[in-house]
Amino acid sequence: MVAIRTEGLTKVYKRKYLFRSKQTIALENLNLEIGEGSVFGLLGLNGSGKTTLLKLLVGLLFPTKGSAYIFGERVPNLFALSRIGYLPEFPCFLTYLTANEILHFYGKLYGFSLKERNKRVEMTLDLVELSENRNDRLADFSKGMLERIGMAQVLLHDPEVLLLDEPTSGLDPLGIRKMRQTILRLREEGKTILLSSHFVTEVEKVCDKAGILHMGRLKRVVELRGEEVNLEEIFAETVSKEM
Amino acid sequence: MALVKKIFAIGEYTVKENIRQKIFYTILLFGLVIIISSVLFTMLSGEETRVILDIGLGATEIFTLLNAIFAAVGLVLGEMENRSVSLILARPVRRFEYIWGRYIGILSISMVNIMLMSIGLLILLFVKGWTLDFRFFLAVFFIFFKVIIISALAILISLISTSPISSISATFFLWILGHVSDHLKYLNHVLVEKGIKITIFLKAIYYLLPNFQYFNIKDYIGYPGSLSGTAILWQVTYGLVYASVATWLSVLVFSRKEF
Repeated sequence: MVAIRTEGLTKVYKRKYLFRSKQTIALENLNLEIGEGSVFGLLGLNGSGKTTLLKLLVGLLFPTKGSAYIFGERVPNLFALSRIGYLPEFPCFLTYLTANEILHFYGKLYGFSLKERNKRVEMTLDLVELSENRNDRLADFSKGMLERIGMAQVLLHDPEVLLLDEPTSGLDPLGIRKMRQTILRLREEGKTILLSSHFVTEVEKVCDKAGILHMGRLKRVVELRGEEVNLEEIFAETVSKEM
Repeated sequence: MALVKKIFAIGEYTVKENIRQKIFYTILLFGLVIIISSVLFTMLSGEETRVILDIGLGATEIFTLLNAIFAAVGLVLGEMENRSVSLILARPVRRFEYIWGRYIGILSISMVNIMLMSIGLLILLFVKGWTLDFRFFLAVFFIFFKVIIISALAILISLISTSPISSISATFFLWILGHVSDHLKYLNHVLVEKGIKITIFLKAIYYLLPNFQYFNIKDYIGYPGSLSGTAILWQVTYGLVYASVATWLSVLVFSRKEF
């Protein structure tokens, strides 16, 4: 079954300055299909459209043209959103809340009962190794701890589709390793993961397929399982052709 | 039911956010200090309780309004600026649920603010031997109606504006204009007499601006005569309709916003 599908998805940013207006094509006519249970890596330079695609899938941006579907449901759609876990590149939280409170708040937005929330919050805090800091305010958290809370809020409702925007950015080597292990464990559980990354080696290690986005266009999709490929070389070759 | 739960969840976290900020306590403290220090002003006038009542209700209104404006601007615009709103909207939450949740949260905290200040004021008045006038509660009730309107406007302005300073200034400006909007009628009369015809323009401004004069019940306390039930009903209806339209506009603006 296809978990994520886009049809001619296009996003044009329009900026207005007094009497002038400027248009930037962030994503152009993207046709993509990601099968259920697979891990798809989006590779691209800065401004290639990776974050735009993820934001379009969760309804934070509206497409200029085309459409996107999660398990056949056109997004943005509440049913589709309840099946998605989204981790932005720089997750910002309400820092006056504690780890426990923020997860309970997000749990309420899914309509979980108090008993259900207690169970899920405890489980996810255990999973990201923040149980001991459950009553600490997020303002006192380090960057690495905030990334882990970011992952906890993704996993809280046990989503079938995970959209991870640069999940390893800003993490120390140990943090990167743990994030990789989490992604691999989720893949084993059959989750569909779409992640964007600058790091070719990370994509190679965890993804089944990689898509190379350049200047808003999907240039190439590379199979990573069962084949010996040099993704770094393919990426450099694809991107430099256009520069 | 799920819709109501989500709105209340957002409202609850708005309250938590507000009461954990120093500004909430600073404003509350300042309000109470002004109410208590009104005793000093009684030396200037023979009508001791009248002075306390006027200053007290005035302080209750201004400081509750200040907190509502800071909360609406700081929380809504702040959350959009630091992008933490994206972690809420990436969940099964409709845009209108977010706006209504925020609005209800701000109103709840304002209600607490008004209640605490009013209790402080009542204690002071009773100590000074004041006889209870039921219109005191009506005055407090209508201060809350001003907050209902100004909070809705503050949220709307935050969504349109680009900086907290401009949002706070614009909302405060509207609050002042809302108290003098009746003068526009007089201004129109004077201008027409002088041959300057901008009636349509002035009328449009008059009807667009909130008319806070409808809610100034504190002027009636201590004097004979009373407010009719019809007048109260009209004031309540006006407040609710005005706030609903402003909130509906906020939802409209917010639904088109990208993050």
